[in-house]
Amino acid sequence: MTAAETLEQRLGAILVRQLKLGNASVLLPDASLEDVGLDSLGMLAFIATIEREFDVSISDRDYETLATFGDAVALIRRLRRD
Amino acid sequence: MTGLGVVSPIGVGAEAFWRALIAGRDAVAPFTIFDATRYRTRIAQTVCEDARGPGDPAVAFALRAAEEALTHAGLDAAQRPACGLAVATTAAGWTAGQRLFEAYQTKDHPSFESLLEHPEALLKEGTLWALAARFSLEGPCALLSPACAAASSAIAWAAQRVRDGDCDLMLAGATDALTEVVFAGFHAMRLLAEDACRPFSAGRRGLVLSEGAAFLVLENAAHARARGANVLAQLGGWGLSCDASHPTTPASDGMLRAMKAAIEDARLQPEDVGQISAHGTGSVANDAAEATAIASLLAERVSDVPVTAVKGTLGHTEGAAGAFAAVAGVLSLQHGARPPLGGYTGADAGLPPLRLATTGAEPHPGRNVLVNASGFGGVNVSLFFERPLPSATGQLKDEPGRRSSTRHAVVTSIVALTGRDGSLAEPDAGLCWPGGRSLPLDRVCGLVLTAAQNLLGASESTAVDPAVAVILGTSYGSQARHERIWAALAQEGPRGVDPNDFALSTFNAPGAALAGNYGFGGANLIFLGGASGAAAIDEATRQIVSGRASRVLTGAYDELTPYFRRVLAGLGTPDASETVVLLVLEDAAQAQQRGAASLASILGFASRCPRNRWPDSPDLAETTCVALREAAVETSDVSAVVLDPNQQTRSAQLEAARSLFGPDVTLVDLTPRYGNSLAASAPLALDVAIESARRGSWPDGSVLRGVAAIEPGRPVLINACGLMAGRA
Repeated sequence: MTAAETLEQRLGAILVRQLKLGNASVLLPDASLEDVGLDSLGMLAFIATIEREFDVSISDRDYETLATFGDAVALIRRLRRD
Repeated sequence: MTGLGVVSPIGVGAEAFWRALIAGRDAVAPFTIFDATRYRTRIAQTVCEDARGPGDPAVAFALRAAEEALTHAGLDAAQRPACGLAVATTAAGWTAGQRLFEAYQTKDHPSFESLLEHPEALLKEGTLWALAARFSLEGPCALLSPACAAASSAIAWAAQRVRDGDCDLMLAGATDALTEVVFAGFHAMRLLAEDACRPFSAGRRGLVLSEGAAFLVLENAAHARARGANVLAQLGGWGLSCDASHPTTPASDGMLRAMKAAIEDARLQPEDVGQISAHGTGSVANDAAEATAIASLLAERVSDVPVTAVKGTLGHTEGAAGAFAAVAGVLSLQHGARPPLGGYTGADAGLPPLRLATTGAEPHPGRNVLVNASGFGGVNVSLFFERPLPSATGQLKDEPGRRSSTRHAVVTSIVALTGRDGSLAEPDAGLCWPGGRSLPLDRVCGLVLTAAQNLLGASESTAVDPAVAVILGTSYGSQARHERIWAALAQEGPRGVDPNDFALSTFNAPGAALAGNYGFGGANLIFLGGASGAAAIDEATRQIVSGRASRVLTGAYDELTPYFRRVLAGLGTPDASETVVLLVLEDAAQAQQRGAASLASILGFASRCPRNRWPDSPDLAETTCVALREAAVETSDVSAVVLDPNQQTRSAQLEAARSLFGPDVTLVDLTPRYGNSLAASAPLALDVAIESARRGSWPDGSVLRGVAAIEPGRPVLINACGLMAGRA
């Protein structure tokens, strides 16, 4: 991680690593996490990684609202501000 | 059913359990078994302290529930040896097991060695042994662990043995204790509710973990009549299936197939179903799939047939869940009452409109209850309990078992992966769960899938074939995943737990991966312990003989992690060898029709409960006699005996063979070549015997005594034993 890396880039890198994607260019804010390849278990693993890497705790209620890449970015931003 | 026994958080004793169910009185509360303050969910249902006992609580629960069931059935000490034993568990052994792993990781050798002195608290086989030893049970035995459908699988297994005439009495049930590894796993999967379990409700948010043991005495109907036993209910039929799709998200079609198979087995129709006791975990996905399956089964009767689920009041007892639901089903018929659906807060508009039992306890005049159970890996079991007919008319259904069947099973292909220096080559790292590219398979699933690909070729179609079953045995299963969860808990706490580790941690994960990959939608079972490979082949044979499957992928596997090797060495098995053996058993007529050669037939089988940690010579001789009788084979017909590799049983095996077959019988010892293949030993012996018959002689160096030549067509006896696992 470099200081210049944005939140979007860090999240994108997690997804690229998990899903073995070629690159993160498909990850527009509106990109559906399901469509990029996260099934229910993949989604759980993705969020577990986020919790560890960003040192945040994501409640079940917040978890259930996550549908897009942009949702994930916004949630982490909110939790880190809180 | 002639006896029931229960140890549960909501009541100790079957009647106390029933009263709590009827009243909808749960025991949800904060608990102190481990530190839950690190978790989002901090509640569970736990058994009262005085029923936990010393040692593994799962064993204490089982002993108490079993005692009640046997006493309830009126079986005294003289009658109990005739009884067989089927036990299911997922979490037995993990209370002390977590401490053992921590001692291993921290190199605390004194604690490690001290814990190993009590293997009964570390291995799931300990429950089997504790029950058999305490109650002097000497009939057939099995230990099963297909996830949360384990208990129902054990009951179905026991019922099949009674129906087949192997045994008149069976004690069948399950036990599970709340453990942190399971709690952390469900937590990582976000399946734990924070306040209550609300099956089929709007706003349900998951399950509440629970614990306990429930046991039932199953009895041959004529036997029960003859001794004047009080018949509580009869198990008219049972059905097993596998979704053959996602590892953890249930599919309604698999559940529907299990329910239909159970009803058909009871020779009834869906129109006859009087009540359904659903698996109903309170998770979003389970209840949606199950409601769809139930609605499809009941069709226009969907608004007439009451549906309840014990988990709303009891919570989720994991592998034991099906046994509690079975006891509740039997009591429901006996009392003519239906327990309410606990935790219900309102209709979920997204679900089909079932007639949920939301208005408190009600009379249940119906003649039967269909009891569902499902688990990770997409396994489903439905048990169909019926009210016994009044004794004046007398007749209970006496089902014709396998002895009246004209089908028989033959081996049409077999493959063995054996390791150099005791370890297998690494499987292809790119193997993934079918359809789930974000879920890479772990090593043990990869090894089993590699063997399957050698046996069956690549999967050509994922269309589900309900006539193909997967029945396997293992000693260690997927517990490498538990090692990872324990390590994560120690290092990072609950946040470190990878949900995928829990999703693939159940003992049936490799079998479910095979089913998903090849579309095998029949029964999906996993047997545990050193003799489990033999038990799997026996069950596979019965699946075919009973017409439940036309083809079965069976065998056994074990992955040996460095930790498990260390445990095995400490328990006296330093020569363990990683092995996977898979074979296809199929209906002989079908094999002949498609021109497949028969490599071998399974002529007979017998298993017996563990009396001691390891069987002695009389134990082995007696078991062998039963197997020979089943096979209709004379001792003089047997061409060779293949010894089980466990050194602790070596002299007993030699003595038993000499006493039965005389001093000249050929004894085959595969350990110089293969070491100890644990659960896969018996399937490996079968593979070697088939290959040796083809070549005309046993492998060099394997004949301990007798002749190296092997005559095709002459029976071979294969021994299987396991620590605290009995013999087969």
